[in-house]
Amino acid sequence: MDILSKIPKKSPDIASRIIDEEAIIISLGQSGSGETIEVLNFTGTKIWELIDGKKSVSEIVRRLTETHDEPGKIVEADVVGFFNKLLTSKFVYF
Amino acid sequence: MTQHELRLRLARRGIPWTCLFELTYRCNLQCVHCYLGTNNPKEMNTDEVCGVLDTLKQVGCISLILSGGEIFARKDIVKILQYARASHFALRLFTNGTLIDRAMAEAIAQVKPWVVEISLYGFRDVHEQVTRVKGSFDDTVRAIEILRGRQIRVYVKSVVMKQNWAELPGLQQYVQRKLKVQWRSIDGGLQISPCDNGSKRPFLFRLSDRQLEKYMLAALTLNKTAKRNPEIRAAGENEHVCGAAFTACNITPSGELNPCLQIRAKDNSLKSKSFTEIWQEHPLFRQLRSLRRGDRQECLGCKDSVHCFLCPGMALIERGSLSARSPEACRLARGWKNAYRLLDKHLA
Repeated sequence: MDILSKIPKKSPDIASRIIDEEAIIISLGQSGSGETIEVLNFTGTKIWELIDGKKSVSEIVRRLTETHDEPGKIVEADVVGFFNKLLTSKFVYF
Repeated sequence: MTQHELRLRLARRGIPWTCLFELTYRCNLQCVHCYLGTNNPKEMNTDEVCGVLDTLKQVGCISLILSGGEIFARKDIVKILQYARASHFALRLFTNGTLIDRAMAEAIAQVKPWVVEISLYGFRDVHEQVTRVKGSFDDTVRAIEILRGRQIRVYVKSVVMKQNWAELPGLQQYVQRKLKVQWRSIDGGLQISPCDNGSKRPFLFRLSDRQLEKYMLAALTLNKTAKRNPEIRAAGENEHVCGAAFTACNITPSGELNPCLQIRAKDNSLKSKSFTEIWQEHPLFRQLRSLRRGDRQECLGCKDSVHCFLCPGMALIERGSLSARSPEACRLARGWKNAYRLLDKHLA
């Protein structure tokens, strides 16, 4: 799935905090299922902070590239991989 | 990451994972065992409550339990729920359910709580002997059904008392099979606390030793988690005794910060001191954080300790010291030990 043009939104079924530059996300789950808890690393937290329901994934990649030394294509692949994980955990939706 | 791991990770940074926020002491029921005294302190208004939520968010607290009294007795409860959800808390709501109609259930569904925990003390007659309000059983059951219909996670819990112990296994089956919601643990409701005003009247409802054993055996037999020869890890002497002032805190309707419901501090108003000042500097909070299992000298070497629910709050109430042996904890531990022994005999 080409997700670069899509606009990610944070799920309403989560609780979250950013503490000492680490995002803590808890999936509150649906009736009958348990919760998932993730603590994001520094870059993951930066991406999490950029998710505002307005920026597309490619825009988030562009913002990150501005502050990273890696080539844009590598950042893009990492970000796409990261969003696929967030989607699997149902922390975000498009 | 598990919830336990996250609690410890936050605690090591001095952050409470959870806060039990008592929004009001008002209640439409009159439960015989209620630990709240007759005093109704001046409650914080909506803005003040939201200010406390801002503070909790700022210090990093994620799990928020809203409790009472009865939280739905507050006219501004929907505003508070919405504010809490917008602040990205994981919300747990403690309620008797009787004030939840379809409109309120819709408002609850909108804020997507983690769970709504509802108290049920027995079938109709027994439940209403406890709540002392006619019709409360039907109102509570109706609320459970409405919430379940809205896909909201509901846990039903109880307090084990002389009035209801014999029918609780049956009630658990009714809750799980007929109401189709979860029954919240088999042992959490065994500890009956005195009233906040010091009255020990609720102790009248504690089970006798014989009743305890019978209840525990029935509960172990009913619940699939019960195992023969349970392997309960013996805790290290250097482990924390409990989460109060470590992973958890309590805030009263008038804005006082406490380590937990059982342990009420003094000179602890959030109106005159910051959360951080009380949490980090208050002597009682510091004392609780430094308390280790090994500090309970009277309990060292106790063979029942694997079954013991160590509660410094109960020890403080019973013996006047956070590190004292709690006779009630000993009694419950003996009860579990005997119940497991009977279960073993039963299964042999």
